[in-house]
Amino acid sequence: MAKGTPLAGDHHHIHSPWMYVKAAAILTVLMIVTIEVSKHDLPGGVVVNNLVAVGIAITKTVVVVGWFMHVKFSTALTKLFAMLGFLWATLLGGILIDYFFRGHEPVPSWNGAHESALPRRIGSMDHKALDPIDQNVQNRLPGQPGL
Amino acid sequence: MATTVGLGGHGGHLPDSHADHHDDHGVLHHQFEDIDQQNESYLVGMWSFLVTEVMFFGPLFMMYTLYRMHYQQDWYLAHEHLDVNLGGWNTFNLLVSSFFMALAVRFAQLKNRMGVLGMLGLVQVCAAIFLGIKVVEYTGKFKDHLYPGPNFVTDPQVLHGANLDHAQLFYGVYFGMTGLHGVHIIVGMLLIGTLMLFWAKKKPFVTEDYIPTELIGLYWHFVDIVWVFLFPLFYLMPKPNGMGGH
Repeated sequence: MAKGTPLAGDHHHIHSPWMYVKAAAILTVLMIVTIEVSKHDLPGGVVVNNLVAVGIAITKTVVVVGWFMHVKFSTALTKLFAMLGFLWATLLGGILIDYFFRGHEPVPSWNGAHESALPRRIGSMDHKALDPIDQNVQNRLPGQPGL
Repeated sequence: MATTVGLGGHGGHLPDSHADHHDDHGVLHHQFEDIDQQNESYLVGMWSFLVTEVMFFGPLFMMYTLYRMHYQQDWYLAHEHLDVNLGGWNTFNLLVSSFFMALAVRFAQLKNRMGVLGMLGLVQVCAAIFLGIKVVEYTGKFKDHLYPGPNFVTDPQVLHGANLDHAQLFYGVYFGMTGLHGVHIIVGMLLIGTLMLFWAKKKPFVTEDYIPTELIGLYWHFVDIVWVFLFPLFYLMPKPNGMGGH
């Protein structure tokens, strides 16, 4: 059988190399866009910059997973397993709920332990040394009225 | 068309009345109904492993997110010592290596041994270049005392006024995550090297079935995906709101 021809009766489709060339070209363009966008302050502030950067990374991941890893042409079961890991990673973001609400806790800590390395309010510790206890709840004992 | 009934337990080739279809499906093992089910089982197994790899890196990205959220300005200042050009070239490098890997899998499907060896060799070259650039970056950091530990830089002006504790945290996370990724690159090189050895020795395990090559390919593409996230998060940090000067 000649090299380069699909095998007769093959169950898996052998893709044209140009498909991989196109995918690689798209990835290269997205990489350049990521770098260029990062040099500018987008309207909406740093949050928009972050969202665009992560959004482009996710798009590149979809291209790699779908075309280089052939998931687009796979069975439903394979697609499910491929999505599972990344779905789990987004669920991991639920841990942020804990950190976002730490500033709302009524007592410094539940067991009187030293303040953790992570401060209570996001962005509050820039250019400062680590504070021992948040000033608003200092010296407050369990059972006393909250904030 | 011959069926699988009565094949026996030796896991040999499908008996087929048409001689030119003899090697079409590689080695079909006896516990599978057909080659599609066999391939799907292998792929799902490999994806299960890749899910564990996502669970490996996921919490590290979570840790990065938490510390960056809290120390935005200090981390921005600390990240300025990273070389975007080197990081960018490494990103392009891995992208190209993924392309070569995809072509290697395609050659394996076509049972083109020299094509597979050529493409895998190019993947190894790209991986070696990646590690070389990483060595250049790391030695630069060591020279500048930007490695977390007792010898970390003590003059805040070196890091443009950043809090040194927070900056040390940044470099700890940087070396931890990119170092772990580098370990995955090394493991990938060993796996691809072993695969190349099998192809060079014409082992039927790889020459008759493209799936082993595809599975190694999946691992390599995953390593590329991890870097796709590491690069913008470490090298392309946007300036925090309200931060002047730099």
